[in-house]
Amino acid sequence: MSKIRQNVPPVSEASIEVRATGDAKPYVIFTQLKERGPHLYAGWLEAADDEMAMVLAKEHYGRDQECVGIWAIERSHIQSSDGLYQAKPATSVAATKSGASSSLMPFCVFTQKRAGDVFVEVGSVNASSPAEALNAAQSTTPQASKAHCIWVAPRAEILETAPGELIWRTTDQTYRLARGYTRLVKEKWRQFRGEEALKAYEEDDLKEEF
Amino acid sequence: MHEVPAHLIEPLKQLLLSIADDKLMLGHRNSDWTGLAPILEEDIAFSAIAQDEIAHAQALYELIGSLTGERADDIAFGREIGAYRCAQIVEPGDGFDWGVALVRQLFCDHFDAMRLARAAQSAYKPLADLAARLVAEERVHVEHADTWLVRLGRGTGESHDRLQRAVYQLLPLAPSLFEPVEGQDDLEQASLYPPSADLYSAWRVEVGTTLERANLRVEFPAQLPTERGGRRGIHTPALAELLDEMCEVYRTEPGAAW
Repeated sequence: MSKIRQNVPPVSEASIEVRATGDAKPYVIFTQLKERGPHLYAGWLEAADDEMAMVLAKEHYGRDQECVGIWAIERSHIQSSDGLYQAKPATSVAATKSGASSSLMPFCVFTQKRAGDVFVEVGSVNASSPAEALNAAQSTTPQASKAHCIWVAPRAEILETAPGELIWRTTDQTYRLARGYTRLVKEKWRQFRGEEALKAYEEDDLKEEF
Repeated sequence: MHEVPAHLIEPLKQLLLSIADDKLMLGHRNSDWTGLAPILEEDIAFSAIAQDEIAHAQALYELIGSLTGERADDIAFGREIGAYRCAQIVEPGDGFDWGVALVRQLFCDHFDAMRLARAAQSAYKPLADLAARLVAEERVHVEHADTWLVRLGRGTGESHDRLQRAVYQLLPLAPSLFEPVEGQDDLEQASLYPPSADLYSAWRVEVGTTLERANLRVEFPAQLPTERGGRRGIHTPALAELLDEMCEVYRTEPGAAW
């Protein structure tokens, strides 16, 4: 910790004249670990807008493991089968252009097999509303019919990284991860204490660390 | 080219030091924001970017070590202040002013990405390969800086004014990035680094475009200064303070392998 941090200037609420004009919006992030693989739930973040959400998603979820693509979906576009998330009324580009309100548009379907499992992309359905998309998913997608919970989101509302856009780290930063740190510690033990001392160390109450 | 001619090893080392030292100091300064950045999501992102820069510096110090036989730790932490080759813009703290931190990122990340893209054309293959790998990450940093600048520049009157003040505060230091290292002409003649006389004008176009999108005013100096600066070992007192702290542990036992 740098000494400079002992002198961080205090921020007084009174010095900020402007009130926040909007809240950060929640986005759910999915990562695709290999080409043509499904997108897997990775976590949430909050951001002011779509572009900032993607910048942050790439930093938080794309860079500590190799992945080939990231999806970010604003929560207000997600309809969940357990009623937790209600999507705002869907508007498709096609519907707006043709003037027809009932035209079909593609929705991506994500399922959670059991409570606590991660949500996995399982396919897509065409529907004219989020509620209809949920019904269609349950009747046409085998994984959805048996799932603990289903999310659907209009394909057009999913933000995605460009193909080939680099997101994972190219330098070794495993020290940032618990497993990287313990590996380093283990190597040091080997170097200085030999195999027997390492065994003794592993047998004591810290062995969980290895 | 896999072997560097003997008379070009020292100039190449100077060039690699200038890239690595910028990254090490910037990474060190920016890591001070961990736990203090304006929002949680950015706290994590900014800390990760700071660690990227330090990791890039490490890779470059290792490349120098492959030419000279030195250890990366000794190069990073074991030099006298006059042997560092960072530009003066990366030396001072930002006073925990988020505007200053972001504008410095804007100036330095654009420069760094352009410099690495050029290094990726080096005739010395190990440098070209490493630079090609690092520039891809540096472009992510550029996107991060641009996104923030445009958001805050077009945000409220206060966020705009704070960035504008930061632009004027850092502008005099920006040319420090472009000072050539000792022997750079020799490197350019041998195609170890592309000719870089046009780098400053190319950078002004890139950075100027982002500043314009952010509704921020800027008047870059038309000419670069010619006096010696950071690239030739002339540094500000801020760097001495930074090094005293950053190298404190190393100096307790310089030969130790951590």
